[in-house]
Amino acid sequence: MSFFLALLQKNPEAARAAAEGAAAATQTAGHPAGDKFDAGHMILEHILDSNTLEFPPFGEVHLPHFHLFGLDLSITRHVVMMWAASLIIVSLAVLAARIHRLAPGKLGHLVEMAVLFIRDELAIPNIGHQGARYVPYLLSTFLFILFCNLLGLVPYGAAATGNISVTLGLALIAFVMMQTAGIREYGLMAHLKHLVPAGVPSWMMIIMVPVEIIGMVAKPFALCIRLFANMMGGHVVILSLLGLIFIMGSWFVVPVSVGFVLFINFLELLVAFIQAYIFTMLTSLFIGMSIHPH
Amino acid sequence: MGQNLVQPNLGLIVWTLVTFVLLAFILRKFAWGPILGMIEEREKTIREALEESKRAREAADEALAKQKEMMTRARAEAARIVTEGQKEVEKIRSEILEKARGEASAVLEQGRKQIEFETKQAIAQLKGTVVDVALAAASKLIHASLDDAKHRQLVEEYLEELPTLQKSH
Repeated sequence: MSFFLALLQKNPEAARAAAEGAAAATQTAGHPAGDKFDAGHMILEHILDSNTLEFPPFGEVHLPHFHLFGLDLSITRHVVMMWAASLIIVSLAVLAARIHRLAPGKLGHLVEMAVLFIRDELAIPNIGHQGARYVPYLLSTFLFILFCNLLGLVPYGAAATGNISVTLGLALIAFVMMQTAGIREYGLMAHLKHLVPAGVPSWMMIIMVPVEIIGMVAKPFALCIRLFANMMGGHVVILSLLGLIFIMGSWFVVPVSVGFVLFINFLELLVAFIQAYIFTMLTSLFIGMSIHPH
Repeated sequence: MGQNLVQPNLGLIVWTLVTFVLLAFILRKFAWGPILGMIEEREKTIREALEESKRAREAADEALAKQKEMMTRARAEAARIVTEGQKEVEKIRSEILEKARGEASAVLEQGRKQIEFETKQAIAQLKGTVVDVALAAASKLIHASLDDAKHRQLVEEYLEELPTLQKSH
């Protein structure tokens, strides 16, 4: 449990030390055949990225390692999950677009509902009339996050959005979208000038400029952390509840744990939609803020 | 395991960027573009149809209003014509009446003049006749007793009176 304490402290070094400690502990205990169950290791194993796709009880697939320019570009489990989500989205959306005519069918209606939702509830109210330009990006973001989240809830799946690298990547793209929106609207110099509210005395710039730059970075950073923490947290809760069975070592815990896990799973289903919505909504809000400063 | 929950992995970030950017471009080109285009086209069609129906209704309303106005005007015109006709008839009637009355009075006046004239004539004639009769009677009387001085004196007196008699007429 030292791992959780370290996590709460948000100290990467401590967390790593704890994780490595946990890993070391299981190694000495001999995880599969050992009599001592290590819940921390089990949870981490499920949440962290890895180079194998596990399909118990059928076996596992080892994914290829490869490095490019000194960068570890190995295809990992979360990469595969992102691809799976992308494949699902592309096939659904392209199919919907192909059959989409003036009178769409069921799939067409479903996709159209998402399109209209993003356009009329997020893009246009938060960004304004320029919002139409950002609808494709917001739609892709929403569906990508949603399907990545949902893949964490299906058997053999994993939530790529529960990985901080993935959410950081998405936040980076959101950051680029926010800045380009402002630059496209006002030009580079005028956009940078908008960072500081008009009418601030020049000596205040010494304070205001760093504060505003921090604010600029804080927005995508918050997006990144929020999505990561929510998705990771839900899985930790589910795995902890299941781990309780093995820690207690009693059959009587099973109904309680499974009941709670079922409940949390439904909650996670809700959270999958909510987090995708929040990420998209906040992104559109931030884009709107850089188009309409102050 | 060598991995950390909150330590970003640059390789995975790159994969995320590549995957998402590719996904976004594919979706934009093959899905969102056509779908949004069709939605907009449909919205345009609906909007145009609505506007068209609104315009048609406005035109119909306008036509109805115009027709109503025309009806009102026509009715007023008809009423006016009837009133005017009545007035005209009244005028003509009174004119005719006036003329007839004038003619009647003229005829009456002429009649009266005629009567007066004829009366005068008759009186004149009568006077002549009376003188003749008187003269005849006088001559008879003269014939009968002219020698009588007394009668002679009577006739003379009568003749003396004659001019005054004529004058009194």
